[in-house]
Amino acid sequence: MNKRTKQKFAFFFFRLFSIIIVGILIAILGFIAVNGLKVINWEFLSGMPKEGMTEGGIFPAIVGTCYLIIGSLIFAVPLGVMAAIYTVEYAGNGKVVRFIRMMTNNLASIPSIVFGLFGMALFVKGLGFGDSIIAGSLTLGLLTLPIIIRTSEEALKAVPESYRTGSYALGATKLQTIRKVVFPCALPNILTGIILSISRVSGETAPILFTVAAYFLPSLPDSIFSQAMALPYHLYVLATSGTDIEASRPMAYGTALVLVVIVLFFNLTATLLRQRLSKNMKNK
Amino acid sequence: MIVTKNINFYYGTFQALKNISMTMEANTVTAFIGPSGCGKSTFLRLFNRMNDLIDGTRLEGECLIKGKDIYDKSINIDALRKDIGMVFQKPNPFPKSVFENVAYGLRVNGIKDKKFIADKVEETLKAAALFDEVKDKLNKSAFELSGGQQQRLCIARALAVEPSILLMDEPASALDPISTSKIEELIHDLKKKYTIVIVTHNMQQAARVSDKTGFFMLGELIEYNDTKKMFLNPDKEITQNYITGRFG
Amino acid sequence: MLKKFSNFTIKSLLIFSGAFAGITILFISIFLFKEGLGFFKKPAVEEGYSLFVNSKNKVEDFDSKKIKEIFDHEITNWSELGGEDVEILLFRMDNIFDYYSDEELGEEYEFLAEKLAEVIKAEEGIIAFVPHQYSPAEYSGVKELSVPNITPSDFFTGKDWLPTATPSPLFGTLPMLLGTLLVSLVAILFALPLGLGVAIYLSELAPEGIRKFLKPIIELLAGIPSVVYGFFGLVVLAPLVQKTFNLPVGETALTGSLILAIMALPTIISIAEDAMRNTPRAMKEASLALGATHWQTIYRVIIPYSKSGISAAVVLGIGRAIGETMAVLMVTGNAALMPTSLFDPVRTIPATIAAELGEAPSGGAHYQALFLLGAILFIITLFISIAAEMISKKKNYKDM
Repeated sequence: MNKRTKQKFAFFFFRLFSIIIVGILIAILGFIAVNGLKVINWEFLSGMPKEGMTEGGIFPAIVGTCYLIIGSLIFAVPLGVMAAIYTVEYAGNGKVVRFIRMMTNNLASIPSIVFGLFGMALFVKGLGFGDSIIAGSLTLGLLTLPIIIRTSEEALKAVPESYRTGSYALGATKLQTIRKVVFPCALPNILTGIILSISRVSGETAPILFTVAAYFLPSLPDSIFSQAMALPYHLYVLATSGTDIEASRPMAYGTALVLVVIVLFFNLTATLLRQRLSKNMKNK
Repeated sequence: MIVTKNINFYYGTFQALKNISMTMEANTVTAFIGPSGCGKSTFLRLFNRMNDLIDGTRLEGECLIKGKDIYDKSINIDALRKDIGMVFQKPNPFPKSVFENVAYGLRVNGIKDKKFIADKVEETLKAAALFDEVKDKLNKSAFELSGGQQQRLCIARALAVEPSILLMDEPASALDPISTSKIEELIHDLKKKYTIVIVTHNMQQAARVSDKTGFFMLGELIEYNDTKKMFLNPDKEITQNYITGRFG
Repeated sequence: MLKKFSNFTIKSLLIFSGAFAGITILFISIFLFKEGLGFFKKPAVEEGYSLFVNSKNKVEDFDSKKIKEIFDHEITNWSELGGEDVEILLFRMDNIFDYYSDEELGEEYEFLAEKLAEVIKAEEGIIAFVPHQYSPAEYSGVKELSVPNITPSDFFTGKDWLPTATPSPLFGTLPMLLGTLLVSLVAILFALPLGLGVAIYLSELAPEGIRKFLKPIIELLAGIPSVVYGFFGLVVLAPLVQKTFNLPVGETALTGSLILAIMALPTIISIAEDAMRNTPRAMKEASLALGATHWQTIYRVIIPYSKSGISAAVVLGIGRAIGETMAVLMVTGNAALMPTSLFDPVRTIPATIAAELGEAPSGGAHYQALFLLGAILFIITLFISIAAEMISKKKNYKDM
């Protein structure tokens, strides 16, 4: 075979593979959208599950997921942003930073089920929170910490050095410079990291299995120490261990669609925001 | 050997070359000089269609090599590039052994005969005046050689596929004076077999190695003349000013 | 003074936050091992129970596997264990009523221990499984078996995972270790060619417009929650696999590998693409200038040059697959058996934890075994992550 033909052959496959990837995404999303749309209406979104979760709605699961998002952000955002400020603005570029960065990378690579085990051992049992929104939020917060640290670091690094020297030249202290100049500049980019972690928190199942998630609750949670239902776990329950799996299949499709829409909405927002921001940076 | 007619070249909307026509003879060394950004490298890279790799470029005019329009649709680019060797500004050996660097061009052009490859590698390393220095290091990484040796390795690599033309884009700009003089000696020897076009920043170098010199500025070919005449008594005053270092 | 103090506070707070990731990892390892290592202090029979035999019985050497086989009627004569030629008589607490009536045992079962002793003394071939509170150990003619603790070799090389069996649960994790490896490695075999192909397309071939469209698509693929992948695998892929290969069930190792392959793709693609884009332009041009085709340039120069990045992509892809829980839990069928073929149901480590932790009594051997599995998983992924980091930093030109 001549080398031009070989090239044509190889490149044909690479194009094909790329089309396959798009095909896979369309297949998954299309399948869930087509089946889910049949179920979704106002009652589905705002109602309680009925008849052993084969009818009614998924309102408590949506509420639970919202609580978990808020709870984990309250914990992870300040911590993550401060960690990034420390590594970028204070720690210089020595061994300490390299160690912190390595640890952040390692934290990001730990499987979510291990976070679940840890959350159960520390928050549920060790600190005695029991299966509760706070235990789940803290566990999910740990999980999103690396995302927030990493995006915040990048955001802070992208602030031009001249802004800092300019501020110092006017007699501002380091802390004032960070608060008044660097942080406001980096904020939009930090925001993309936060949005991305919302997407992650709303989709994770394994960490909440043993820290918060309830199979079924007749009422909405009333404090941070109560259990809650959550969308991803609800989907898992409906798909594998509902009272009547066949009858609850439509509910499962609906839940999957709601979950996918929430997760991908935040995911896409973050991606687009990042693209927009990096374009703006270039134009400056 | 190389003939260009009314070449205009654009990067997007920026016109990098303006209406350039010139002829380069076989078995001569032609030097292109001029200030940075004058278009001399862009012009050189037209001859083996390296500019094709850059998105958003456009070419007008004709470029004939051995009488054939190399931008014609029927041209086989790989074969064209095989026939026109190129040496780049910075030494850029592949992350492979010394031997494999030289053998690369043979292998990609379908040669599998081990004996032939081994002989050819030795022959070209000798032609590049490098063999004695590296004969014990053939299987070592090319990155272990000095900068000057790496650049001669790159020349050997280009020679291995037996091109008829050798394009050199500031081949000595990243090297120390001793390495530079070795490269210049080499160019002098290679002239017997190859047509060489060299882009250089260094006026003395152009004066030392070339037969003819073209002076470029702002995308235009200002003057094209015998090197001796160019450096002693150029036709244009602006050339004189550049050569004597009034601007640069 | 006040300003100095607040500055100090803020700085300490920042340092603490910076160190937090490290602290968390430290805490995770402490907690997992604290819970998990207690496992090896557990006896091989169910906690709170002991085994008793007739004092004439000479058999000494017991382990959990043998006990299980006795109670499963697979070993029926003491001679098989090196004892007398006497048939084994299994005795559980319920069997006491075959010998004595309720009245004879007393209102509060106060005579139970005594009566148990009598039975054991009378029956030469007996083995009795009795809770501690009714232990007849103080009576004559009765011998309490000393059962050894569970050993690491039971745990790592045991082929049976029966954590709720009585009297002697089995905690052999070999099926899960192998199942995890099988599913992950096959997943990478699927994902690697596909992922590399797409990475090459993105970094070398795609026009800017298509690239801008394809990159977010790949990020979306990474963003889909694993439980949704699991659901899709369960309702679409599993039946498809079942039909295509004409299998009794669709939830197999293969189904898991396929889903994991899709999930590992975005990781592989984006890291490999970055690596290939980092190949210096000069390398590419040098190759093309020698008459190599674009494809020759890709596989002879660009791929070798980005070898370390591609290896890191593969390693991280494996890491992602090994740790993945929900999708695998939903599509692999979860049979804790030694995997023999791709078409059998298998079970992975994370799926085991997710499926069983909710039912394992806190602090028991089963619970601790699951934490130990978690600790193993943690170490494997930590190792993988460090390895990937070292590989991607390494630039070794010699062995290309």
